[in-house]
Amino acid sequence: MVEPVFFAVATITVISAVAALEAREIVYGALALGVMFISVAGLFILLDASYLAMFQIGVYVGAVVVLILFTVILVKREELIAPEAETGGKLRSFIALTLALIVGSVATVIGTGAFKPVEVYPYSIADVGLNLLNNYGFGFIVLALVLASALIGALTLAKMERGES
Amino acid sequence: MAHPMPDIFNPPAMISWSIQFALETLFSDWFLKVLIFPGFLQIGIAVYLFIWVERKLMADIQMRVGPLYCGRYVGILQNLADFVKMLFKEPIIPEKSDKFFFQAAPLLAVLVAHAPFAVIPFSEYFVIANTDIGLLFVLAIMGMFPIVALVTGWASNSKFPFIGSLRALFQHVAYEIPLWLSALGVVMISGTLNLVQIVKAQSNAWFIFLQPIGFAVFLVAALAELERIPFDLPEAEPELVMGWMTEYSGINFGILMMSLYVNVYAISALITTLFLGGWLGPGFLPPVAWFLFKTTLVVMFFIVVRAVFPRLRMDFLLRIGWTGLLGLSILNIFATVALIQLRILPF
Repeated sequence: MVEPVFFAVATITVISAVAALEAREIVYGALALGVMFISVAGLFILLDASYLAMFQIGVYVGAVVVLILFTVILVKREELIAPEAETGGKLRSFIALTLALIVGSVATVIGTGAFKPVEVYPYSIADVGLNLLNNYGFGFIVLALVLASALIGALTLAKMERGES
Repeated sequence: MAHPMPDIFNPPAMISWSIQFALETLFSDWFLKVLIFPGFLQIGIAVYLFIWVERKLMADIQMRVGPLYCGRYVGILQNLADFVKMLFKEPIIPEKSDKFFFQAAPLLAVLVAHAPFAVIPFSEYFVIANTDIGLLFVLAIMGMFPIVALVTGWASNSKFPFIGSLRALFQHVAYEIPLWLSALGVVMISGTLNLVQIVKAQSNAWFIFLQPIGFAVFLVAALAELERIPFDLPEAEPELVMGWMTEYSGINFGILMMSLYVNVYAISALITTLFLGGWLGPGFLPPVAWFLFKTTLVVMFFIVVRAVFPRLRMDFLLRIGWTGLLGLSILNIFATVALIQLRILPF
């Protein structure tokens, strides 16, 4: 029962990703990106990584897509989209996508022996938290500092702009 | 079967056990669960009653009568009359709007509103999906509300909906963090995100007594997420006509309004599960009845709040969300961690 579901979810992922990149109207692209994130969460669920899937929906769709939509809607159209100067852009992107798919499938077929399914043992949110803080504690602290500096930088930029105007 | 058969000399417990047994035999398949009991038919009936109760209760508080003529002096058929009226009205689609998203947005709103019912347990048996990530699923789905408001406002291609959807976006994003953090207190005490396990962890004491600050913060943040008065600004009638739903008429509007009420019902069910002990209660009523009773109490609280309070101004609203509620919820987390370390919680 997993196989047809996987093919359906993978097809939706690829189609919405292509739509996100190639959509003429940029809000369509942002919403297609949201659909892609949800289908990637579906792939995570198929791989038994349920916490990852829920955080994917909560963080990516719930925050990142919202921020992208917000930015896209508020910024004037001329500042975002360059005039459509080059012809043949669609053909080039189609060729690039096909090449990527061919290379990807060849690599998968060649390396089949290396991709063995990983043993998944039942874990709880407490295990996730303990693992994160014990084994990856240093990266956790570095990430927190990066986020804090990004926040302070954004606040400083906003204050500078308000001070100028 | 979750409950053993009680003593035969205990008539109320026996009756409630046999009702529960009959219901569980009837709904022994997930399909019926999705369709009927905690699924679509139940949500439809519940929202129908909810809208009627809201109109009558608000009318009582405001010293008027409410729906009176449809259905035998009580107005119970008023919702049906409104629904039929909306079916027959012309759904006007503005010419310059984005036609696909204008018509798809109400469906997206319905999807996002109904999704939490897949994991909320109405009793130990009546849960559609008993997953280990139930609470996280509901909170992640609630994180998709701003997209719905934004797409609806943008697709309408008009000033009132646009401003209303931006206000809705600010409001939702501001109150999402206190919502997550106050739910975190509950997760810390019960040790799991599984909603059935969270209810079972309240067998000794409901979390409303163990986490009063968390309950208060969750209630206020839920009011803001649901766009109910006093957090009504995206829908401010004297200012923005109908906020981000202005351009909708006919059945599109009906679907959007219904999805708002389904939202309120879903969040009330979530509050009942997290803080009020879910289906737990003395044995003379079946557990499902306890759950519905408690959810009705929370819904009535929301209705009373709507009738009594004025609307908050936007900057005040955002300031409370980002500073006051966030500070309170972080304080709640610290207090909970301290009490857990001192072995006072969990009971």
